Amino acid sequence: MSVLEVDRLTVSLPMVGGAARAVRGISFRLERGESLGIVGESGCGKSMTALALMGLLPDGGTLDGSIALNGRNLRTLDEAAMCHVRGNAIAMVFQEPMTSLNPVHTIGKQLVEPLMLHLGLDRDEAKVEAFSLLERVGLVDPQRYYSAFPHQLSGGQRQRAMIAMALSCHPEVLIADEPTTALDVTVQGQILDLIYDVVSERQMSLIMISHDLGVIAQTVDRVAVMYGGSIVEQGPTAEVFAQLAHPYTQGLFAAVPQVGDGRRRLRTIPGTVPELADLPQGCTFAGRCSLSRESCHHQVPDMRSVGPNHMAACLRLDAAMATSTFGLRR
Amino acid sequence: MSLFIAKRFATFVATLFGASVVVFLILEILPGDPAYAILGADADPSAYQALRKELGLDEPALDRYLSWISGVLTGDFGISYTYSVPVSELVVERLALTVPLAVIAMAMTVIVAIGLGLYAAAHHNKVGDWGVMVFSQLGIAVPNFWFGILLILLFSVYLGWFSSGGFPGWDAGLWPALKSLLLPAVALATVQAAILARVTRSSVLETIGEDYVRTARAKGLTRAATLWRHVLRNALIPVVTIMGLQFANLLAGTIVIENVFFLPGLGRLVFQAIANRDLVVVKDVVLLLAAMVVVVNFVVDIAYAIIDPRLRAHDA
Ligand SMILES: Nc1ncnc2c1ncn2[C@@H]1O[C@H](COP(=O)(O)OP(=O)(O)OP(=O)(O)O)[C@@H](O)[C@H]1O
Ligand SMILES: [Mg+2]
Repeated sequence: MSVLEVDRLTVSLPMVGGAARAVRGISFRLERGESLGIVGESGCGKSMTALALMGLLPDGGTLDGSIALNGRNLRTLDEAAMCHVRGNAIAMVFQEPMTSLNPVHTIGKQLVEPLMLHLGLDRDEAKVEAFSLLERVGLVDPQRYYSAFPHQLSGGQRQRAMIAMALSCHPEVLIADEPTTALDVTVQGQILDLIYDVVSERQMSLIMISHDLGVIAQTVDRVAVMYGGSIVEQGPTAEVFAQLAHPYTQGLFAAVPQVGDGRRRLRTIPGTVPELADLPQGCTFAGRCSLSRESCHHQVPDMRSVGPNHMAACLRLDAAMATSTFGLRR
Repeated sequence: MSLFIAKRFATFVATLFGASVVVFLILEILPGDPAYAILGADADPSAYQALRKELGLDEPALDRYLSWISGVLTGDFGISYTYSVPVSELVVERLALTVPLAVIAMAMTVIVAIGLGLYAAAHHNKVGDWGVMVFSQLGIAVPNFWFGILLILLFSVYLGWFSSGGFPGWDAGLWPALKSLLLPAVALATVQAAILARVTRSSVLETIGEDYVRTARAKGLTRAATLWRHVLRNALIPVVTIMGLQFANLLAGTIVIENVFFLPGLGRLVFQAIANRDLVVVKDVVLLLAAMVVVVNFVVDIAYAIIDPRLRAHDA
């Protein structure tokens, strides 16, 4: 049984002039110890997907479809039961380390909170555990970090503290929502390494969200590419990178600066991400796709198999794969 | 820390100096002659002149200002014209009423406002929220003296639970004394609580949107626990600012309310002193009120540092 099984998950958010579907019927599964990368441009619904899994949608947001954790549909749980899942079975590391910690409490106080809540430790036991967690995430000299306030730490150190909090109750699934986007390039690699290390050490399943293909490419077992609230392509990382099937994935890959590109202009995908409120009728990418035909604007493409466990949603898959110049045939 | 205290002390002195000049000038310009106020308008001219000389009113303004200030600095606050006792005695006696009144009113304000504000924010856009908003709007709109009169009508005249005014003194026992301060404190607190409840509500609502609140929820804390442990303290910062400002309002409010309820407090003392042209009393009390406001601001600054660790480093 998969640890996490998401089926036709849809998220609607209230907006002026009606609800907008930020996530539109996405499905994926996550096995024990597996890592899944979710990639896509800003605003494509990555964070909303993560928050939906946590049951923490913004006020007024509604959910459709199912989210099963070890076969148990989280949507049938009441709020109290959901509180027991959060931070305990599923934990999350957020995008903005600078604002994700409470400025008026010490790191220690924030770290012992889930330990006391979910593991039933008393304050002293929780403190001992907190020290070892701080050491594990690279905050050696735990005494100092335990009694430090967030403003006394750097962004990288705060993100380490966030990771310690997320790890604290041995969750089965860790969701990392762009954990390094707000950090210096020099610390980005360290934080990613830390996450991958602890995840594999503890046999956890990981959802790594990023807008940066580079962050995903080398490290996750499987990737899902999101565009306009839908997953347009997903499969094992090696498969996907060997044969980029969807025109959007191809464009995204081409936009990643490669070493040795010299002084050429970076390639970009023409056009901009459409507004959620008025997404087009058919394929959401049709407006920006060089391969689009009349039918693309009317018909929503289904996921089609393009290789072992590798699927993409495009009406013009054959043309796309034929013209693909970006696949790294390894 | 010592720099912080030195800066504070300088502010304190400057504020009091400013207040002393302003009150002195206003009383200079204001029509009305203490000697006439004491003797009556048809007083014998020679007695009038003698009294003016005795009170020092015939000296130049600057001399009078300096002798007042040097008196204050040496602990001699002067003698009240109307009561013929040292102003310090008079004030201490009156403070025994006004300080407890202000403290009770402030405590009521804080408890009611934070409770209502939290409740409204937790029930944002629901009936409870609207209810609090409507009541607070009413509370703000109602003048406190009029509300005081309504309270007297209802609780004293109609229900007969409280006396309609007056103060038995602390010698009469704790409960009778407190009881006589209860209605006036409610009248004083209502407007302040209404304002503060709104401030609390909007501050809590703003704080609820912060990332660290989402983090707390992601750890598995319930809504209520998150509100209590992570939202409240952060939301308190603007609330404390307003509370500091409200204390000054509250002191001003005592002047009106003590007159409505016939309470022999500092507010009533000032009011009567102005009516009687008891200038020494007016000047001293205004100076005292200014000092109290500065001290409260100092307390507010300390409260900031207690609430928010980020503010501790700078001033230390
Ligand atoms: N609280 C909210 N209310 C309404 N709409 C929202 C809210 N938060 C986000 N959205 C919208 O939902 C869509 C998806 O947002 P989401 O945060 O999931 O994007 P993302 O893929 O995580 O982007 P990024 O890379 O910038 O983090 C966006 O169009 C955004 O404007
Ligand atoms: Mg995001």
